[in-house]
Amino acid sequence: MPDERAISWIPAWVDASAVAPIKLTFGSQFPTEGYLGKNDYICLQPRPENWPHVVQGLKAAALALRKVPISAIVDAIGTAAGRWCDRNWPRRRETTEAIIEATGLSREIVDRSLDVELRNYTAESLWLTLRREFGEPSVLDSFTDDSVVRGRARAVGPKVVLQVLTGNVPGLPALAIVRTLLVKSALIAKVASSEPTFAASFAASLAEIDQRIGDSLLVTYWDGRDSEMYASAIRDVECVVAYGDTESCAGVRSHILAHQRYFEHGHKLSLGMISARYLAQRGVDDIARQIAHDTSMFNQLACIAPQAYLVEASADTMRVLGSAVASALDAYSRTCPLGHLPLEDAMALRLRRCSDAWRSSAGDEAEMWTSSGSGWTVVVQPEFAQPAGTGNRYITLMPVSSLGECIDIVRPFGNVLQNVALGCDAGELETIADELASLGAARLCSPGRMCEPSLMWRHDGRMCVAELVRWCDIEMHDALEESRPHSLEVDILP
Amino acid sequence: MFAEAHTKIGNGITPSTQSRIAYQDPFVTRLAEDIHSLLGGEDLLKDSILQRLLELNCANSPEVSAYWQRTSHCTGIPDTAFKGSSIYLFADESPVRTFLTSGTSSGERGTAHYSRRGLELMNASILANAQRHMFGGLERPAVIRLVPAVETAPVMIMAYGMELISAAFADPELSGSVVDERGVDYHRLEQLLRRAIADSRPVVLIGASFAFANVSERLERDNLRFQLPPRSRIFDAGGSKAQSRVINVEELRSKLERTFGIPPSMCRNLFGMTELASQLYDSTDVPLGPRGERPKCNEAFVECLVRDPDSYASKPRGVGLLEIRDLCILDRPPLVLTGDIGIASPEGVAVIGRVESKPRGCSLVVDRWTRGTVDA
Repeated sequence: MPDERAISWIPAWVDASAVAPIKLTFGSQFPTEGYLGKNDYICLQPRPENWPHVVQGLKAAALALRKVPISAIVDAIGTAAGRWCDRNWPRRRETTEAIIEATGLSREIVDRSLDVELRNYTAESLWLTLRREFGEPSVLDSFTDDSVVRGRARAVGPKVVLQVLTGNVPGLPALAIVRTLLVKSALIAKVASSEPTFAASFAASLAEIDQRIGDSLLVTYWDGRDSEMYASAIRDVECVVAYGDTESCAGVRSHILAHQRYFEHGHKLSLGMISARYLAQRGVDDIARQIAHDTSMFNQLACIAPQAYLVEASADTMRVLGSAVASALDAYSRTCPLGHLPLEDAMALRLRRCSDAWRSSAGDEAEMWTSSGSGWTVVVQPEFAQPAGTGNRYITLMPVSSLGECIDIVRPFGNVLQNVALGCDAGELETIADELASLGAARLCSPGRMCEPSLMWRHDGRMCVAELVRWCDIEMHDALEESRPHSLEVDILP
Repeated sequence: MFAEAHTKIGNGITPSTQSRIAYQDPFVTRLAEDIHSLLGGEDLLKDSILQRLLELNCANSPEVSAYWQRTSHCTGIPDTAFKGSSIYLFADESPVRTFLTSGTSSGERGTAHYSRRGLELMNASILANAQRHMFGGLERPAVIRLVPAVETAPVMIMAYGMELISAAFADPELSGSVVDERGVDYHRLEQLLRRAIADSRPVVLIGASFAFANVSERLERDNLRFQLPPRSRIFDAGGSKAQSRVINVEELRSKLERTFGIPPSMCRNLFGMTELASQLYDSTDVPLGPRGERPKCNEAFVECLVRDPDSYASKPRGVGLLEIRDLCILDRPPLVLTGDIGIASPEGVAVIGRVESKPRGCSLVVDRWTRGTVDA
């Protein structure tokens, strides 16, 4: 690797004296031969006293971006995404290397993650997302006739959004950048130390296509505990979005000022449920492959990845299924291995395995299958007990007597429920989908499709692009009444 | 170093087919005698003792036997195994003593049961280690304990062990515990310290690491300082749970020097936990861990190993999972995976903190997910 990789993107209009080059070293707390080491990075970081000037510049860039038609922004993002979807594109190849060095993930898992993430940003996908969230995307350009209210509506994004990124899924920072650009806002992106390289590279790829977009993006890093930097960076932005664990999100939240809007994408729980009927229809091997796929993508570190599958089956069938999932995970890992775990993660995983092995030894219904290294783990146990959440392809299969019991088990976690794979027939889907929606689930899909959410999906149950904007409606206005064709009027008043 | 246990267990022992070994069986009698001999310095016995302890566990605990089969080799029993109904090998002999863990790491208290022979072995181990590491060159010193008396905390192993040490080595007139259910009795502490100074008797201060930090801070606030007699010393027991409060070794020792007039070179740390019968003392005064943690001294009867998390191989150097092989445990498996992180070095193993199962990104950690335990 180069001696120091750059992890920042500073727009061209920023005066060189306003930023300081900071040398950073990230990596495992315990760099050990055979595991991840430490990586050196160089980051251009606005000096605390220069943040007001930098944010002012970003606001000016945002005002310029507001004049760019949404179609041009969509086209630019779509073009960049198209390039990123080519595994042989030099920028993608270089960034893939950087991600591998930073995370220890295998090349194939990084490539698969980037494929899945970046294919979401084609122009077609972006337009569908805008239509779903705004109805008529032209509201982002100008006042547009509203189909319901007798009037017109305009959506205005914040001038500057601060997005605090996470490093758990390669390519995920693109989501935060794209959402911000779709509302024509300028962006300050704070990258995560666990994967600091992708965001700046993605910003550069957009700037190559449209300089106006490049001028609206600033990607940098500061230590999450650096209150002075947080206070300086956050003071003049209108909106803050944080991705990360409970602790990280709480840290960001503590800096939010009264006038600012704040959105959080914190910890979530995802899982799968399989009915006896679905099991009979599809067969153990097919379902095992689906479970293995869901468990392996993103190395199970994404909020949409399952931590457990609840299966309506007998103890004997669970043993057969467990063995089949183990074989499927093994097969998956042959073409797409886990990679090198940071020593901290490897130790947590080994301890969890030992705890589960002990539980399995003490109970008749428990079984366990593991790879020879840390690659994958399957546990069948009657309860899903601590410790859990290590990720890294560690799946718990839990027998249940009915889909109704699944709901009872999941009920305590409704407030963090995210993605549920439902292996069931149409009749069962009708019954259980409503219950899961009521509990708090934000996405239901088939087993094997958990890690392919579309951009249109309402992430965390929210409209994550539309929630950024402020609306302005023209209604009860005589001039508008006069110019409006009668046929379009819809009176919603009783 | 011990021979690798898994090569031994594969050599003639078939765990699942062993018949139960009774407490009064000559096998157990002989084993206990040999462990006593090991404590007396007969190092040659240790591989045989380990082998027989493994055999005893496989014969008397189907869970342990199944666990070792499942983990492919004699992996240390995880500390979670001690929660709830803990392992006890002698169904035909009631325990004479039970200690409880603090439960600070998981909220659920763990248990460690001792048979009469098991307790005798633990006592012997505690005293042999204390004689070797604590009382060199001292004759009936004052031993002041920053832990409760056994009467106050009958299930706390640290209270038990330190009272045992005090009873064996201390001058009873000048010694005692200065902690009760209300906390530290500073008046009594001051009284005992002044008496030892007046008598020019060296003082051995023993207690938990965090207790020393709290006491020195309080005494400093009260502007109370002591110059304890030469050869006085401090032993702080910083087991893993005590390390939940981050304490830098150098920082702690300079505080203690200011408060008690005991130079840092006379301070040592020892590692112990309820699940173990033996403790591990600092081997040298050279910092090894990130907060200055010193390497621990292996003994014939108790040893630290650092395990590679991927292969579970023992690492001669570097960071990994801490496994303790304590041959003085008769009533439970002698191999314990403590849940701590260790750094191995030629001088020994430093214990540097707990392994944390911290989630990355947005994937939730479910601490406990059992049927019907929480209402929505």
